[in-house]
Amino acid sequence: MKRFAQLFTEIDATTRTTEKVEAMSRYFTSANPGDAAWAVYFLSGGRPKRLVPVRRLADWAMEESGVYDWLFEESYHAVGDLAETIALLLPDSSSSSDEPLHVWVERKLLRIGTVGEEEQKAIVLEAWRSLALRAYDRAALSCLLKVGLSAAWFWAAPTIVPAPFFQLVGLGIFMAWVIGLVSAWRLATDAHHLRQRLGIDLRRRSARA
Amino acid sequence: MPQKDLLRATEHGLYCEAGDFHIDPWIPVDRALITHAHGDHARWGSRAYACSTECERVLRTRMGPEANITTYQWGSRTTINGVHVSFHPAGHILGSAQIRVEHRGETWVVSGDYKTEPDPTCSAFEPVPCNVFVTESTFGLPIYRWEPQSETFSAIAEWWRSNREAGRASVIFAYALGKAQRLLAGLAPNAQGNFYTHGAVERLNRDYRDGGITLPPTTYAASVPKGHDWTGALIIAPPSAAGSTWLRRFGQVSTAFASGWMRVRGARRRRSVDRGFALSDHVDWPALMNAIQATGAGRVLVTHGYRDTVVRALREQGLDADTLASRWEGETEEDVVAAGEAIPE
Repeated sequence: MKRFAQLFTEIDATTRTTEKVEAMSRYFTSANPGDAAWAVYFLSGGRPKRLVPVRRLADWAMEESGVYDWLFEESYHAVGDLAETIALLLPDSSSSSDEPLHVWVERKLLRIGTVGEEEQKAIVLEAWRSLALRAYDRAALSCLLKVGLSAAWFWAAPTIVPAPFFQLVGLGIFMAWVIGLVSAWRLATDAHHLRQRLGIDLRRRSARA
Repeated sequence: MPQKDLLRATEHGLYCEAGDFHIDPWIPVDRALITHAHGDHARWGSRAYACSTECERVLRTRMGPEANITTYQWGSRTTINGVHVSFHPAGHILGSAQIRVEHRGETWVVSGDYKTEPDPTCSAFEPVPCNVFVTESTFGLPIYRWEPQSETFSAIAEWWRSNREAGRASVIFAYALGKAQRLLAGLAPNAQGNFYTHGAVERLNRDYRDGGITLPPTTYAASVPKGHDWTGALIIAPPSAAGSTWLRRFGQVSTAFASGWMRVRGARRRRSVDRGFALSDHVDWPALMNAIQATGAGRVLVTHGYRDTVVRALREQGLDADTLASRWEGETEEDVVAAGEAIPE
C-alpha cells in the first residue's frame, strides 16, 4: 500500500510524461502480480459506482477532524476535490501499517460495499488512522474509496489466468493504454492551443451552423 | 454614544484619528507607520515613514534613498500626538512588526503579516496582549496546516539532489523579499551544490547580510559567463521569472515553487511547476487561532485573506469578531510583484 502511495506521489510530483512512465515502470517491475493488477486498475481511472456515499465520507471526516460542516464546505470550495479536502483536514496520524495493495483492497475496500454503515465507518476510520499516510497518500486512499465492485475482473483474473501470461498481457495492455493516453492528451492540448491562438470558438461556429 | 474606534479604515488606509497617522496606507499620506516592506503594505510616496530598526534597510531599498524614515527598537515606546505607539516582532520577514497603539487605556495591535514558526532570518513573533487585535487571514482555512519546516527543507534538498543526479539544474520560485532568504538559510546546512540568484533576490540578500543575517554564499546568475554547466545548481528566482526567457540559460531544469498555496494540489498544477513546497511566512490555521487567543483580545478585526471564514469561526468561539476592509493582499496566489522586484536582466 505504501509503495503504491509512493508511486502516486511520484507520478504527481512531475509534469514530465517520461518521468511518470519511468515511475510506473519501476513500480511494475517490482510489484507482485496482485498489486500490479490493482495498480493498473486504479491508474486507468475507472469510476465505477461508489462503495460509500460521498456524504457519509464527508460526515466521518468532519467528525474525525473536528471541523464543523460550514467550515468543511468552505474548505471543499477552496480545494475543489473531496478526497483531497478530506486528506488535508484529517489529523496527522503516527501509527502506520504496510499491507500489500491487493490484500488491502480485497480484504477491506471491497468488503465495504457489503457491510452495514457502522462497520463501513469502522473500516474507513481505521484506514484513515492506521494507514498513517501523509496528506497526498491519503488523497490517494480516499480516491480508492470511490472505486467499486466492477473491479472484479482484475480481482478474478490472476486466479483464472496463469500468472506469467497475465503479467505479460497486462503489461502490454497497460503500455498501449499509456501510449494512447499520452498521444490523446498531446493531440487535445495541441488542438486546444492552436484553437486559442487562432481565436476559433467552436461553440459559436456550431451555433451558427 | 459608543466610543469611536481608535483605528478605522479610510480611503487612504488604516487611520488613527487621535494620533493622526496611518498604518500601511495604500495611498500616500503625511505619516505612515509600516509593518513590513512587502509591496502591499509599504507603498511609495508618503511624506514620513516609521518602522522597526530591523526593517530600515529593506524599506529603504523599496522606498528609495530619499525617503524620510524614522526607526524604533523593538518594544520601545514613542508618543505621537498623545497616542503611545510601539513595534513588536511579527516573525514574517526581516523587520516585520506588529504595531501596538495605546490611547486612553485601550490597546490595539495591528499584526501586519505574521508567522509563529521560528525563522533564522528575522526576529521571532511575540504575542502582544491587547483589547483589539487586527489580524491577517491569508491562510485562514483548516486545510492550511504546515508540516514541520525541517521536513519541508529536507524535501527540497532531496529534490535538489535528485535533479543533480539527473544532470539538471533546480530552479525554485520564491518571493524575493523574505521567502528567498529563508530558503537560503534553511537549505544551507543541506546544500547539494551552489546557490545562484535572480537580481531581485540578490539585491535583498545584500540588505539581509548588511543587517547581520547569516546567509550562505550566493552568486548573481547573470554574472556567470555563458557556457557554464548549471548541473546541480540551485537557482532562486521570483515567481515572475516563471516561464520567462530568463530561464533558458540554465538548460535542463526542474522547477518548484515555495509557498503556502502549494499545500493544495490544484494550486500547484495551475502554476505548472514540477514541484510545490508548502513553505509559508504566514500562520497556518492552528497557529492563527492560537495567536489570536494569546493576545487575550476581546475583539478581533480580520483583514486580507479568508476574512469571512475566520470571522465566523471566531464568533462561534464567542469572540467579538468583524471583517476590516483593506487593500493588503498578503501572499496572494497570483503574482504580486512590487515595483522594483522584477529586474529585467
